[in-house]
Amino acid sequence: MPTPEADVLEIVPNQIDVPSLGRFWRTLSDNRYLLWQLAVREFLGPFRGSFLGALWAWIYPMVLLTVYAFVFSFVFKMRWGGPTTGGFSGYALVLFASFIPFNFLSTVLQRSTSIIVSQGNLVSKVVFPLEILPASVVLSALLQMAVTTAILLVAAPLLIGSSPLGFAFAVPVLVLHVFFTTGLAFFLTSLSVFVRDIGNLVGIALQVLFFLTPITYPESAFPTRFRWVVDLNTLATVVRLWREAILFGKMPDGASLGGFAVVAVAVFAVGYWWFHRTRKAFIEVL
Amino acid sequence: MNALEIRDLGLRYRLYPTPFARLKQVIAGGRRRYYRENWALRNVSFDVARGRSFGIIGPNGSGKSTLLRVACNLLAPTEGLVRRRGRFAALLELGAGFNSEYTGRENVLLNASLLGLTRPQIETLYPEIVAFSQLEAFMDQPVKTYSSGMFVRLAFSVAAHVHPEVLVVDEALAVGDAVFQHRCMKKIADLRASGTTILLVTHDMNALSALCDEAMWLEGGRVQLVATPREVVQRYLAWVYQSQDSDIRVGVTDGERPGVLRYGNGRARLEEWGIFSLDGTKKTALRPGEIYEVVIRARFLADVAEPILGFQLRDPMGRELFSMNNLERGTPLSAARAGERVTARFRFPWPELAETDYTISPAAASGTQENHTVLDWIDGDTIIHSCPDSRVLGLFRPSNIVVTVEREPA
Repeated sequence: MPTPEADVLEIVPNQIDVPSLGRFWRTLSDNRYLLWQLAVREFLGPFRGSFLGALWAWIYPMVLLTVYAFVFSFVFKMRWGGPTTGGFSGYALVLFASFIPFNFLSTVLQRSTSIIVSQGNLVSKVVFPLEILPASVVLSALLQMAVTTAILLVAAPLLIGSSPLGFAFAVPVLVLHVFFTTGLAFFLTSLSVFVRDIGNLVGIALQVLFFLTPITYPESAFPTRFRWVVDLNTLATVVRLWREAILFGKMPDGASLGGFAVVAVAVFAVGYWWFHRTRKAFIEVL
Repeated sequence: MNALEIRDLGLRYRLYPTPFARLKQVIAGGRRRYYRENWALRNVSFDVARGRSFGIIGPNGSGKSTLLRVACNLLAPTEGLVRRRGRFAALLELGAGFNSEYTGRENVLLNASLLGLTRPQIETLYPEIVAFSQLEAFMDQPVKTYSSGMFVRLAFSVAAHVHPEVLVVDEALAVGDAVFQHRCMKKIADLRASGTTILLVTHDMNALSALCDEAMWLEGGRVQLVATPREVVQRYLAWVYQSQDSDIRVGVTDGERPGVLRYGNGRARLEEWGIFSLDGTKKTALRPGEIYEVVIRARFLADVAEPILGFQLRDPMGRELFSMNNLERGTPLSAARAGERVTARFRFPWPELAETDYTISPAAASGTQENHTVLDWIDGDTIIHSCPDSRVLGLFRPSNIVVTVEREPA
């Protein structure tokens, strides 16, 4: 079978492969089955062989959520205020909604710091596009997020009468959040290969980020003199826009969304560029 | 047309004290050096024509695996050029992408997609892969419950069914039991017959002779020789034996008769060798069942504590069919003095070997069967021809065959 000349691959020293969004997308689409396989394994992996199986994917966040809701609502007497969200169930629901973007970020970042090292065999012995690995981590976290968001979309209209249309406003926030998280994941995936401490560092940073982000408390509860902490915290913007849209059907304001868009695209671009720049060196240190 | 062209390829490894130093280097660019350098490959050039199979041999650390990784685009070359045509599939390690927690089925799906197959292709090939592995009953169990033999069988089955245009294999086959190895060899031979280009790294000289059209000997990251597998194997083995004892070396080729490989440390010199009939006439055409005598006479040029005289018989592919020596046959020689001549005679009925040319390589060595140094070795010098009465199927026919057939009426 004659092979067209286009099939010729030339490998020369110091090849610069220019990263581009189009190329990234083509890689994902060419390898979609592999990506899917890896993501599903990643998603189901921790529950493999257990009696309840994938149910654990929901039990864990639900229990955590109940505990947080109980502690903050009854012990700390925290309330969101507002006509529909003043009670305990309202508090729990807002908390549940706010958890979703944080959980996504947290799951992706934690896992991305170990994915290359734990799959070292793949990197050095199998020929395949490496960006599939962080992408599969993102996709598996998306699967998990789809489940919790689905629960939210059913619970919110029932408990506080929110409009299901609010989800439409949440979609752009979600898309940007995925880009933002993927960019960070690319960066941390690569960095963790060279600096093994990154895994622990990210664990601590996520804990700090959790409490510095208005997730368990309303933004208004943040002391004014530390207001800049929230302003600098991109995740705070994401959480705010997300819950306003999905719970209260509020369209994201242009300034916040625009600002986040710039940050998300920049983080994605830098993360992907960094990953590309360093990927050839992975095999040397594994 | 060539499936692979490699020109003046060089690869310099940078050895970093810590992974973090590697990162600092990325940031620093060319301004500082955090590494030590080591050339793993230098000035490597060769072509692999489409549909041919190309073997690479060399000692450990000679750069074979690095070369395959460059050809697979896992490692970037430091200098030179790699040009390749067609879809490559790499088998750098059998089962490298397997996860022991997953079931056989999941691993097959995952690995086939890692090797570049699309979903419809995998669905078509799945029954074939499972059938080849003979593990139908175990496909829904986690791979961690498999024996290592089962694991390897499944891994090879996946890899063998990818049907790439170019298959790159790195000693992946030197595992598993004899039956499995045989099946692997057969599968590779089938792929080769169906036009797949093969790039193979191996330590197994027989595999190299049997599976490759052309071979390369790599040593210290440099190409020593690109030639027919037979010649490469001979020269490589000559080098291996010679480097066991670096005291005295004679040239690789026999100065008296150019073209004949001769090596050893020179403490003995073979003076006469050949195969004779019992009346003392030298023979080149041998009839199975008749008794012949291989005679080897050596003169010792130094005192040798444990001398051994013997020979090796090889087929035209360079495969060793049998060897014998006085020690292994239970007649050890006492120490030889410098200047002494020793003659060994091996008398045996000629086995029923297939009709073709064979070579006899006489040798003098010292030491034990397991650990010896070559004093003088003349490679494949004597050519003999086996003349069986009827065609032999395969390599040889056992003696005293009794065949009975029975018929039971319907």
